[in-house]
Amino acid sequence: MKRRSFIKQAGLAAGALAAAPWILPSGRLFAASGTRLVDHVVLCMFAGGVRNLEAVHKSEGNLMPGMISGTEAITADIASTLATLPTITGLTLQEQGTLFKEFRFKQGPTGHYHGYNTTITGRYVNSTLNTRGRPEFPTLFELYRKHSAPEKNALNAWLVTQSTNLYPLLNHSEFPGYGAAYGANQITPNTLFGYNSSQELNDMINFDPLHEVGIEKVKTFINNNFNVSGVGISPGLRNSEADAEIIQQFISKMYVDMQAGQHSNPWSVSMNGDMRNIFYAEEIIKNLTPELLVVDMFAVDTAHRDFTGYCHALYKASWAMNHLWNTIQLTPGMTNNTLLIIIPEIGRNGTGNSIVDANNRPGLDHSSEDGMSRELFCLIAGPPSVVKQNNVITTVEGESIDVVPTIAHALGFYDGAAGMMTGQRLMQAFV
Amino acid sequence: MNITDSNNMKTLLFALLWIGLAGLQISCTKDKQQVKQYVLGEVPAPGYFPSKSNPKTDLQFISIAFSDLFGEQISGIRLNRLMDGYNSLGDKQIIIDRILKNLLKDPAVLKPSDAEMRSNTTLFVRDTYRKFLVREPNDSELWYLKKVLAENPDITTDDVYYAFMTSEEYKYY
Repeated sequence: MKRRSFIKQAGLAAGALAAAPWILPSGRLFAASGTRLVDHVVLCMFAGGVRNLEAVHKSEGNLMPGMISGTEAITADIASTLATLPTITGLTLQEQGTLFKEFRFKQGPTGHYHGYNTTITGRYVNSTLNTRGRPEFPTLFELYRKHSAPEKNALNAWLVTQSTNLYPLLNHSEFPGYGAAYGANQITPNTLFGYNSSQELNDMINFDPLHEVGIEKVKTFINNNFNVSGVGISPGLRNSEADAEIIQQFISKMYVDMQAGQHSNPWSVSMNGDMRNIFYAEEIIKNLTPELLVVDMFAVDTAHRDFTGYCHALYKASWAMNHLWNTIQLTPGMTNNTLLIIIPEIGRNGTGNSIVDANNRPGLDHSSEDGMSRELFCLIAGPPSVVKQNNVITTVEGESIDVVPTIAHALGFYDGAAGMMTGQRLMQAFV
Repeated sequence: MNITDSNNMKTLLFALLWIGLAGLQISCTKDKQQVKQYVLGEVPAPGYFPSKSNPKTDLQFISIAFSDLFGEQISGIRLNRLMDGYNSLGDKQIIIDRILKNLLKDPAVLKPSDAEMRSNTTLFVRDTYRKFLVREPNDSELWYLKKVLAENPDITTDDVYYAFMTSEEYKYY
């Protein structure tokens, strides 16, 4: 079958399946699954280790005006070199959702990968975690894809990482019964759509569609003659042929846009790597409208040696979150139908280190023995009919492992995945 | 010839001998006056199925693909550029597809022209197996690929190279 006709037929079949009720062996229509509160969730790992002191307690003024309400002036030395960004108009994200001001990362080393891993799997890890390996337990993506009814394809689940180092491993675990078959599409767009990759991936030979039958014959024949049984290696995440073609078209479109100059400064502001990562996440949202997308930012980690730069990065990260939220609201299908959850993977130390920046401010590390490195916030924005608006929880409530069950609750797969989750649903956020 | 091939040949000869004797017995039953003589001819042993068991690493795959197409070792700079792209997407099938399609478009790829391919398809099929799968095609493989080429007169060298490089066997050594 020719690829194009295959894709067309696959699309029609998928449409028919989506329109038809699911008749199960039990005779019931539709599988037993919790009611969905929304059809889309975007989770942002914000943004490389953030201290509550600067973020939600505003010790240097309101450094996150895109997210947090308040007009507190930013400290003069920080403000003097702050990048100029367009003023946020309209409601802050805090006003459009629930803010847990005293969230906690209660257990395990306060490393970036440990915190990220904990939030993504809903399970605490300890110092034995293999930081070069995949998560020990199923990720949010695997739980979502496997326990949704019907099961979801990978095209609906995306992990958008800032770096090609370590974090791409978080798109699936090797847990028996889960793993790559239920993983997320992982993408590092800053690299994929960077100069180097564009030189190697953008100028593809175009095969004549009429030749595809012949190509497929040759390939199938070679494959049939090759016995790989017993080799036992994981093929990794694979999309269906139809979905892979959709992703190829998306990548090609991005290169076309890039060559047309549309990626050089798409927001017309001084963009850092975090903002660019959010920009690409928005492109995925606009073009593919996934049901579950996780995106990360890391620029604030400059705090180790540059406190002022850390504050600047917080400012940009919050502006990017506001931009992301606006894009979500402008995307058909996601408008008033999406939760945006923002949570740092870890906090930072209460006391500074010995490295001072240009403003004589000490750097901030993140050590497991420093309690402030375990203090986080969590902001959940969503439709007024689903999420309590302008709701601020100031008591110590919620922890990192609660994010997965909360998303499971929102996307209707909590019941199916309950046995695999250790945290609690953040019901305080919901109407 | 290795031990497996030798055993295969013995099995084949035994089978042909048995068929021959059975046939002789049937014919003798039908017509005892007629004496038929059967001679065992040379029959090639059936083709083996390759069993490469070592998957190429990401670096190996890209390096080998480059060498196979351009006949030279890939430079460190080029390899790093390709690995940047490779590491940027979780679905490796998708990214490998893009890498190969980009490499194949390069006019520096060492390949026969389509006319040269058509002028001697036996040589082309043998060379292509040696180039990409590092082995000789067996008789059925040679026969089938020549048949596909004959039945699909529009298939190009690039088409065949792409099919070989995206095959499962190409991922192993």
